[in-house]
Amino acid sequence: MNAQQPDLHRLVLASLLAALIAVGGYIAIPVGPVPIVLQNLFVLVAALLLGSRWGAAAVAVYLLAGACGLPVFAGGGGGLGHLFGPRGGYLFGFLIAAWVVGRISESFRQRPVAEIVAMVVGSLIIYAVGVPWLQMLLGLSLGKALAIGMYPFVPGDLIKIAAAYAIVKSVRPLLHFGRRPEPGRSPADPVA
Amino acid sequence: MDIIKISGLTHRYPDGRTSLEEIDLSVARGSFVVLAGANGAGKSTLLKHLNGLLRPQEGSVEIAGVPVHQDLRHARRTVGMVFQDADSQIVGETVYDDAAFGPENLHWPAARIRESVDSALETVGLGKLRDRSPHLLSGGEKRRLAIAGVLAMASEVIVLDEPFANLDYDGVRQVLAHIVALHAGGRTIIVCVHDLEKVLAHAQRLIILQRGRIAADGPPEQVVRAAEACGIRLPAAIRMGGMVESWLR
Amino acid sequence: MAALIFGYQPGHTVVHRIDARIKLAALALFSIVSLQAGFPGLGLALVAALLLLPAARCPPLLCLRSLRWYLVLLLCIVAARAATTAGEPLLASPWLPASRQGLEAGLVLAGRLLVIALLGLLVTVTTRPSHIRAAVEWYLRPLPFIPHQQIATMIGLLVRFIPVILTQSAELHDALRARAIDQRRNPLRRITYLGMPLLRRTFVTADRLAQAMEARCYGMERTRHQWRTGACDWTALGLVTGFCALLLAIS
Repeated sequence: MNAQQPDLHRLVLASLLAALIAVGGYIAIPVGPVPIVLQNLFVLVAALLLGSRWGAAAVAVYLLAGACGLPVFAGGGGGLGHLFGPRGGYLFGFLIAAWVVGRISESFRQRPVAEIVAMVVGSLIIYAVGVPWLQMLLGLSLGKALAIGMYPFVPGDLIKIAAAYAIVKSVRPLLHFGRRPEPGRSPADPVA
Repeated sequence: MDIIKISGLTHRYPDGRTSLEEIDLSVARGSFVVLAGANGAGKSTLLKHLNGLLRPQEGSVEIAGVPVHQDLRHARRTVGMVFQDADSQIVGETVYDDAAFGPENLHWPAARIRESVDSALETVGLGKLRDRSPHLLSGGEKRRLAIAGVLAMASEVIVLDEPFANLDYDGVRQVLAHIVALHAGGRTIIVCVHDLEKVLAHAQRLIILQRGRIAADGPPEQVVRAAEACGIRLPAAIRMGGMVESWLR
Repeated sequence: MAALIFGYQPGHTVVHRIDARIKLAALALFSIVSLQAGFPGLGLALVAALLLLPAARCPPLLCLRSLRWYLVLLLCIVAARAATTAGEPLLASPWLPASRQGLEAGLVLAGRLLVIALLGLLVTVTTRPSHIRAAVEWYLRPLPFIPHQQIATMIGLLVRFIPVILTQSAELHDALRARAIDQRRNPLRRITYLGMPLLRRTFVTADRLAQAMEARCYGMERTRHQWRTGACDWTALGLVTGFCALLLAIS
């Protein structure tokens, strides 16, 4: 039972980050003509904080829950319709991106440059899956698909990568699985 | 007959500060104990030893005669714990699912779970809300649901950490009434507070913790005067020379 | 804020009572088949979906509201398809390039997605989240190397904590606005000021939650969901299979 404790903590955290990814679909920060939606920000953050395995697990559980009709996708119900719909490619892209970002960050021991490169690669992966999907569905040329499905979001993505890096750097010290002499004592918990 | 027996319990934080020092304590079956102390006195740390969320670094903790570390499951079944933050201890998607979480973990047969959850929800008056999402409950209802989750596991001892935090008058009265009723039903109750006002009238025993040590222990009317020195406000009625009156009246 | 998410509505209709495993299987089957369907089949499927929704006592307005953004996306599909597919022009005006073939292709595609979304919504509205979770667990159980029980737990926690985190983020947003975050022009600051506390709170919640689960004996072996499959469920499965075969036949 003791050996399983850090695992339980990771499982709970991955579930909550999956919930955060779902909520990210609703949080938009109005900047310029295209509001910045925070969903892929949380995908990147989850991958960096949890690593490849649990980061991908968080995204996978989010997608699985949505596919089975649980109301986790922005816009409520609809289940599989969202996965097959115009945004479907991006959603599947999240899964691959989470794994790759986590993997790169692990391989380079969370070095700052590696993490930023990882997030750039991750964002590109999301588009590499999402844009052709959009192109296929809408019957557009690649150029037009890029113009609709990628270019407007690139400035926002750069901001998000910077934000994700800042956020991860500030919250990572609060994370403490692996080195848990005492189960369940969080630094934010008042010593009572 | 003591259901909880703690002897020589000492606990230090990883940074070396002591949070509990040489605690010796026994709690009789069926008693109503109030554990009071200022923030940082070691209340929560002590509580977490009762069901093995923390292991004794020195000393021992026995629940119903069995050392906690020997049989964690037994300790966790016997001592049901209601944490302070109601929102982050509710696990289920609906009220019913949440109350069933503990019994499901105990691998009980489905029929027994249904029976025990139904009766637990009835006991705390949430029977009608069983299909509701826990998020939509009021503060008092959430606290009662957390109590139901413990009741459904048929815990003998119910430990409540700051059960009145963030509750309005009505919420306090609801939760208090259920705690008192559970005690009347034969359960051992340990309530952990930093403010005696709301619960002292019902307590049989008051334990005051200060800087990791037991500063005072005994019947409330004798011990309560020591409270002020330990960073706990003396209830107003006692300042005026009277006795604390129950909030249920 | 919790109303933002349109989920399970308790009820006692036939659709509510059908075994969640069968509903999920039917949804998957139906989705695959309607991806093949043409105009006549889609019409039939759409009628069926639109009949089932009121039969399950779905409030139609709520359905419409929850799908409104999805409908906008579908309209975009129709418009894009109509504009880009070569074929005989629909309108004489050169400013609105739309071909008949393109419009048809767009409508078929949008129709398929609409049918799938409506049926997904039907499952969402009529099935208890815990039953969906149990059904997922049941389907994953035979697969090797998949920790089905952990996945089920994660799905349960995900559903439980979406409204909590939504509320937290709304509270945070208000708190930031109260301190004049709107005056900040730098979007990076705005995102980090929202993201950092949100994640910190998530960590604290995760800590407490893991502890509460441990205190309630969370472990590997848990009681499994008791499935009761009756004649009604098998009939439903038969009906759906038959209907899908019909769709394939006329497409």
